[in-house]
Amino acid sequence: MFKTTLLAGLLACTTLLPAYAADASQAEDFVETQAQGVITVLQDMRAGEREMAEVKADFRDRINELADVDRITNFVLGRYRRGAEPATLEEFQTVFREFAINVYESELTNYSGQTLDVTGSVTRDENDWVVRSQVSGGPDGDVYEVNWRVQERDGTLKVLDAQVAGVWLAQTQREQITSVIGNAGGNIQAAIDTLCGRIQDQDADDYARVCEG
Amino acid sequence: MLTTFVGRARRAIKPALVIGVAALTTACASREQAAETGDPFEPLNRGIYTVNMALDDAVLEPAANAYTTVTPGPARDGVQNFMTNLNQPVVFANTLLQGNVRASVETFGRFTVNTIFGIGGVFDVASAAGVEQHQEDFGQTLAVWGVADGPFIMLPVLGPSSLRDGTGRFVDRYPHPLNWNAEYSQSTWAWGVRGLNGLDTRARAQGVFTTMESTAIDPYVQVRSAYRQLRASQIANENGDAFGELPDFSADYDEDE
Repeated sequence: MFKTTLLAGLLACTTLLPAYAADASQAEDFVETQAQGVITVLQDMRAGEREMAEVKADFRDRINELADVDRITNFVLGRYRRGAEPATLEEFQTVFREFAINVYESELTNYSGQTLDVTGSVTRDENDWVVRSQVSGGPDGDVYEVNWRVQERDGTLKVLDAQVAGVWLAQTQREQITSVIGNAGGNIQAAIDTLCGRIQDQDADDYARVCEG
Repeated sequence: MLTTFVGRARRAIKPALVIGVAALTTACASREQAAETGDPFEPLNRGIYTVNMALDDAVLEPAANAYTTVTPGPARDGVQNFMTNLNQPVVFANTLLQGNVRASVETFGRFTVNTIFGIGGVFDVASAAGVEQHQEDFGQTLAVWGVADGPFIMLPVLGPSSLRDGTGRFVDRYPHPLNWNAEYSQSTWAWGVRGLNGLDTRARAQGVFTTMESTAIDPYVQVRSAYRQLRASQIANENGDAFGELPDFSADYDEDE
């Protein structure tokens, strides 16, 4: 009787435990593998050895593997996400995703052909880390320090933010987005219009597909 | 006579005061948003930012590009080393004020070694010998003493700052060698060094300018945010708590912290 109860208890505990609990070394491995993969794809893009459309699709897939763009999109809206019309929210998410991926592409292209080395990590919580890395091997011989905010959710590791030269990208984007919306009296459409303007500067095809489509 | 003078002064000051208060009230952002962002002077700051960027486009960026083009890389490194070394007394004073003895000793050592063996600081001998370099200023010292950064301020020409850091910038003039002697401080040579420092600083920031331009949504807010984060990072690094305060990314996040 006791044995049966013990077994049942153990079984219940095992079932209740998360299917996967990452640790700092897994977060470090994740950044090393995924971020280096993105940088390598951009090297292909710069070298022109593959079809541009194919490389771009590959890049987007790898960004989706690396970063939780949906959570970043919700984050940058700050308090304006609450109470937003679902259709407006959806439009913002589409436009911001396009803008963000274009920014990642242009920024990470600066590191194409370079090597990313993870140098350590700081555990902030049981599923929240900052992974430190250095990117080196560029023509100027400089070494760039890039830190990655990694979180685990539902057994999956994702990057939420990246810090270059002391500045976090998503935090800076949120301040800008909320400022644009705040200056427009809380109207999210103002941020959509501003982002579309920036996408038009980045890539006319993307603008036609996302903002005019 | 004194009464007459006071009366005249009052009459002169009163309209000026009214105009000043009115201007300040207009310049102060009346919107709740500006208060929330710690930028009560946002309209005024945005105006100064626009002028600064126009000045940069017309003068500073072309001058910095010309400087980069005509000056070989090793010479630019020498200029940067010289300017960094010249600022070491400022760093030394602030490490002392922060009670960081180790950093004070290292900074004093750097200044001495680089000035003597690095030919006035043109060569960074101390770094080659493994002596750590520190970057402290009075704004950071005030932060270490518990002074909050205060409202954001966009300074003409000099760019982003805060009430605390702007004050710190003013105080840091005193331990700087260019200001040790009042007469020498105003000499052509001293102003030439200041000009070269500004040119070199702007040239080295070209990559940051390019990146910010390509990633901006609201360029003014981007500069404000980046400046604040950078300063917080510099202060936190000194306190050994670089990632203590980071925002919540949870999916149900809907409150500004």
